[in-house]
Amino acid sequence: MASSTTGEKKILTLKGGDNEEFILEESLVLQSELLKNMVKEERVSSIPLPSIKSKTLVKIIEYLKKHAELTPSNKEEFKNFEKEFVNVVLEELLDITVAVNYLKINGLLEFCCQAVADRIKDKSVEAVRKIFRIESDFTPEEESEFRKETPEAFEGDLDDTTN
Amino acid sequence: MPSKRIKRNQPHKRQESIDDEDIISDLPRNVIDCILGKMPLRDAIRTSVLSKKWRLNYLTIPQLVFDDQFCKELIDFAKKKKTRKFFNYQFNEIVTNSLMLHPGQIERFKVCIPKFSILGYPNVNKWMLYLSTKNIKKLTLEYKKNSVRHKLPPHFFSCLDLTYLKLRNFDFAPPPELKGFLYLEKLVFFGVHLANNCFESFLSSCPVLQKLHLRGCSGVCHFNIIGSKLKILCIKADDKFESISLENAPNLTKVTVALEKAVIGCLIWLSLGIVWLKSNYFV
Repeated sequence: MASSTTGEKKILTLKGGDNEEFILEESLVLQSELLKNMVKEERVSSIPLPSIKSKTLVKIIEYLKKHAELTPSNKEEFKNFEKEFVNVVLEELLDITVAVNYLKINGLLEFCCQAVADRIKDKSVEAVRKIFRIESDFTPEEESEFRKETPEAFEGDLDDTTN
Repeated sequence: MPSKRIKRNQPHKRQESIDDEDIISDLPRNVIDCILGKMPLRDAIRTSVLSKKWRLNYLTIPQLVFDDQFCKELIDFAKKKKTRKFFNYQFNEIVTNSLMLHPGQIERFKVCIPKFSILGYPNVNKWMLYLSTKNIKKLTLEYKKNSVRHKLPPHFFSCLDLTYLKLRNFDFAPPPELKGFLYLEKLVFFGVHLANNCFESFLSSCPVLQKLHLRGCSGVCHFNIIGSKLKILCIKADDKFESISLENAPNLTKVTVALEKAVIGCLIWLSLGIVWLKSNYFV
């Protein structure tokens, strides 16, 4: 089906959570420690990844391709790509982050975590709760007590918006 | 070759998570640690009041960074309270507590120590003691004030698992019994005074050192670098610095030497290896 003309490149199928299949060169997935071990040790040609939504997998494969093409001369372009890559709705970003953590693609994990961190930075506690839909289970007295432990962390202009 | 995407008949799509469900608190622990480690400490500390699940999360961040921004925010806060002593106390207290309360591994520790009043001297030796028990890997210790050099606290030399070390404004005099930093890959010294005759032997006791940066250091006029692993050597504006001799350095790919004034007799001996001299190279 997907034999390459050179006959050298190995082909691998990844199966996303909704059974969608993605056929790609084996060399691309070696960036993932998890898949690398599977490919090297078990010599599989098809890997089911039921916990990863296809939509997420599409994004990750897109990243792997771009990263594989990275050279010193297109560094800037890659940086812009990375910026756009994490410019998605928060739920999607978190899905990607969790999937990347599972696949053990370390560089991308760091980058995704930075993008999540940037959405928390400079925000007020109330805004962070709203953004991530965290429900406080403290009493108001408890919370104000805890705030007093590290007053400097709550000083200054904090952003109350959820943008 | 482009990858092909085969569309299958998609089964009914899983319902997206219900609108009011918490989307972050149950992420894997290492992901949460990583996220918290990517923001200034002040922001990470604020997450401790989000909910009970978050109460202690910030304590286990594997990177503890007390940098210039951290100091600036703390100073702004102290100014509002109109007390400099309060700042000194808080700085010491926050750094010390973050270490003492840390239950897990600390991968990286960075502290930029601002000017301190004598009353509130920071507990650097205590920090080093804690870090040595945590198998610290990456360490940055900086004193901001350039005119003063500080002694390295004795416990510093117990942090033997270091892979990265950066020191600014210190006197560096390793004790004779030091066996060396066996895992050290990158060493950066800014404004460090190197005690006489010890630097060479110290370097030779770092067998996997790949990158060496010295800037504004003093105490050494000539030194030999004998190391087969060294890849990058960068030396800038070092007082009285006269010669470097490199022996057996086949992995060296980049050498930058920039002296404030070209010293007559400055000699760079490159015995082996391909060397790319970048710029500011005086002979």
